[in-house]
Amino acid sequence: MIKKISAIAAAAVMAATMSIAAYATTYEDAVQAAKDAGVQSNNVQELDNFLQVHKDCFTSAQYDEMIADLNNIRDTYVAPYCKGGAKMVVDKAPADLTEADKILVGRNWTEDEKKAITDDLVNLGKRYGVTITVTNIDKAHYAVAAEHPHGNDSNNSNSSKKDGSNSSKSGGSGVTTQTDKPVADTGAGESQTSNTAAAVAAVALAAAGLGVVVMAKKNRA
Amino acid sequence: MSNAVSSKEKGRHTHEHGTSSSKVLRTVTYVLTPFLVLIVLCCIAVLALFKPYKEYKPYLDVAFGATPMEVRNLRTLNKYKDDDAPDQIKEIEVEVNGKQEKHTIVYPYYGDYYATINCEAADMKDIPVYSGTANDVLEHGAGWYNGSVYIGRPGNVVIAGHNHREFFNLPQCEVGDVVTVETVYCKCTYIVSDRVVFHEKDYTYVYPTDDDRLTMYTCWNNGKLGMSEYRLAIICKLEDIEWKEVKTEE
Repeated sequence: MIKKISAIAAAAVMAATMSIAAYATTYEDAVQAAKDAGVQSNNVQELDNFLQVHKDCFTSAQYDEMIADLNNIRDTYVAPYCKGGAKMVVDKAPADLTEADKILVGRNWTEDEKKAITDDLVNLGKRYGVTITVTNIDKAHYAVAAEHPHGNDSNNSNSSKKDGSNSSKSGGSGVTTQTDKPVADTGAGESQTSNTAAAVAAVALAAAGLGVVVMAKKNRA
Repeated sequence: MSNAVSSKEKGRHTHEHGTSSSKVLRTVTYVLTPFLVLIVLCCIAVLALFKPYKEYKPYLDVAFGATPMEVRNLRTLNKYKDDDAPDQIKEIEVEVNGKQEKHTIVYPYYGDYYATINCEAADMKDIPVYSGTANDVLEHGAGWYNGSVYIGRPGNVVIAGHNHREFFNLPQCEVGDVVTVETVYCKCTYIVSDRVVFHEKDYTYVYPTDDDRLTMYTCWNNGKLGMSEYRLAIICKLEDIEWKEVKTEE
């Protein structure tokens, strides 16, 4: 009887171990971790878009590391402002935050906290050969650009360095995703080039023209 | 007598004063006028060279020091990627009528030409859509917002465009109109379901959604051109997706 129980227990343990071993962390899990960490939904979508393209570039262990990093950001910078946190502004868990709640939390971050989050993301990217650029749009929104050299995706696990970074550089790279202002400037006359320079030149032209006319009149008098 | 003298002296003083001020004025005029003319000429030159400067700036950057991103701008059509950047092609599984099908999707780089929009009812023909909504991208065409789903994927596809160019006719879209968005890997057909005016700080319409939709927006200035804090969004429901066969170079 004891032998039977031991055999059943051993089989159960083996089955459980095998099921754990069979589960590989995927990019979807990383995206879910970002959602649960209270990241703005447009930035979560951007992460989803980036990882869709590069899903084969990262191993299951690397996705685990990403998730651990995102969880750390959640616990350090988001949870304190949520339910039960020391600086609570929203009576909800990080995973339950609405977009408005996320904005509220973001507005309460100190400059040091914002910098720490940005540095954390940039360093996370560096570990995997992803160039992440974070620019501040306003008090609660960030534009994030992500660039990663493709290399040989299928052989990625072999080409990864011991420290987990992937420096495969065969083939060029490009910015895969970049979130700009969520609502873009779409009016006539809005362009990136310096309209200020043109405006200053136009005003100076008008002023100088006026000066010439005044001088000419004075000369005649 | 004394009155006559004083009057004469007064006149002399006045004459002298007038002469000296004229001299000063003339001197100032002679000195200032060339400068004023120079300023006028410089300003005309600045205005005239304003547009060509944008084209030559990358060359100047290369000559006088530029970031790698600016160097890219010189040697590629898309400054956001290298010339030899490989195509981002992946096979995906999609559910069509309850069945799982495998299709190929070509993911764009930021700044890449991505799709074409057509809406016959609003006289929108072959509107080019690029990936991204930065100002320099929107100078070339409409822009797909990278914080929304890829065209053909489930969720909210968000596309922005200028109200004086690509999306000039967007306000003519009415509920029930057919809109098609075509990429190299699929052709999506949408039906306009709603027209909404929203403030630029209200991100409700650009956030991901649970339903499959297309949101196109442009600046809304009560029908006039120009910048505005408000946007007109045309929201369309997905009607059909036609997947294409993507030929890849072996």
